Order: sequence, then C-alpha cells, then structure tokens
Amino acid sequence: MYKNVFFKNRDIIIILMIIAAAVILYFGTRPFIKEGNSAQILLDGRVIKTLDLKKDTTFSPEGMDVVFEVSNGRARFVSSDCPDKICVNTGFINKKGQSAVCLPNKLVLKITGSDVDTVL
Amino acid sequence: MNKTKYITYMAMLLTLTIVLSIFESMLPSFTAIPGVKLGLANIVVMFTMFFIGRKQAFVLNIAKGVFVLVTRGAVAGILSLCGGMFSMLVIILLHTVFKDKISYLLLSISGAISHNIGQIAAVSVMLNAYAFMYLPVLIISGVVMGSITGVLLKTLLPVLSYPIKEAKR
Repeated sequence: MYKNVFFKNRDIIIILMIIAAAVILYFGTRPFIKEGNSAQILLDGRVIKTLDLKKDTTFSPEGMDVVFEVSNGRARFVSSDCPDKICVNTGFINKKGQSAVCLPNKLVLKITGSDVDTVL
Repeated sequence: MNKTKYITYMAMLLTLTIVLSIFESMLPSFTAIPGVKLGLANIVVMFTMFFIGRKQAFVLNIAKGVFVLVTRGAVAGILSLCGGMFSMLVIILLHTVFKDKISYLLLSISGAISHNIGQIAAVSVMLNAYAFMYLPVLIISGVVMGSITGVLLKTLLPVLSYPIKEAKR
C-alpha cells in the first residue's frame, strides 16, 4: 500500500515547469515546421492518394462517405460519416508533418514536403 | 477480508472501471483534439494501484482494454491498452524512484500525461502518422485532466476504500 501525501506545495513548481516545457516545445518547434506542398491520404497506413496543395480539388475515397478538400494550399476533411467528427473538427492543415486522423474509418490526411525538406 | 468479500470488492472495482469508461465515451468531446479526455476510469485504476496492489490494477487495465476492444473495435482497444499500460509503468517507475516523497497529485498528473503519450505512440505506429505534433497540447491536457482525476480520487477515497477499513475493524 502506498503511503504518500496527496499534495505538497512543491508540486505547484513542478506543474508549472511541466506546463512551461510544453509551451516551449510548442513554440520552439513551430518556426522549424515548414508548409508542406502535398497532402497524402492514407487508408490503414497505406497511401491511397496524393493531392497537390497548389491545386484546389476535392477527393472522396471509393466506397467511403468521406470527402477531402484542398483549398489555398491547405487540406481538410470536409465531411465524414464517423460518429465523433474529430477529423472534420481538426480543420485545415498545411504544415509539414501535420495530420488529421479519422480513427473509425482508419483514414489519415497527412501533409508532406518535398524530398529535400524531408532530409532536413 | 475474507475471500468472498475480496472477490465481490474486486468485481465492484472492475464494474466501476467499465461503467466510468462507458460514461466517458458518452460525454460529448469538448475539444476538437483527439486524446483530450478526462480519464475517469483511471480514478479506479489508480485507487487500486495505490491501495490494493499493482497486480490487481494490472488486471483492471487489461479488462478495461478488452472491454473497449469488444465494444468499440480493435483500434480503440489497442489505444486504451497502450495508454493504460504506459501510464501504469510510469507511475510505478516514479514511485520506485521517489518512494513516498512524491505526492498523489503528481503521480496522477504523470499518469495522465503518460497515458496520452502511450496513445499517440500507438496512433503513430498504427496509422503511420506523425501524431507527435499534438504532444504539447496533450501534455497540457494531461496536467489538467490528471489534476481533476487526482482531486476526484481524493474525494472518492473514503467511499472506495470503505470495504478495506471495514475489514480491518
């Protein structure tokens, strides 16, 4: 059986340090993330379609009630038949490495850069 | 505590874990970010780990994962298991290192953060997506949700541990 106390004053400092670390991580990595130039659509981990972010298009995977859109260099889930709509609520994404995930449909929308950028 | 009482007590804790897990999945998600959840079921798992035993908490975690697997599909089940197991591992590790110098609140927070990390690791591997972009957001969410579940654990402690006190009398 554990015999710890519930709270120590020192905890506040540790919590603030954790929050500071998260904030630094968020703003510290942002400048290094460049805008991508294509959007990959993955079904169950495999790429089923690559969309060019420079061309405005819409795309719907065969046999699925899901619609993707590329507009002004950004991509998003327009609609999905999943119950939670987390993928649609993620909204537009355009930074390299960003992704919108629809777990019920096993679909991932992922922004990728050119090969040169990927090495960096 | 005699054997019958022990079995009943464990069954009650298991039921509580599953019911809280269902209850939470019924609540509307209040953010657009996946993974930002309260983790109510973790209250019971943490209680079990702190006051009954690690083995029993391990069983609860597995049972919860299997239940999610059966009712909400393989992906959700694996996510639940990865999060739960990693969270337990981190809490045990911290407790082994710091013994009783670390507070329950911090254990609860680190449990919530590692639960999130376990889940994004699983998402990254399964769907081949870089979900680690969410890490800062999920750390903050872990701090908030971990504090809430920690406070709830403290509040519910007299009720949850009643059978233990009863048996000692």
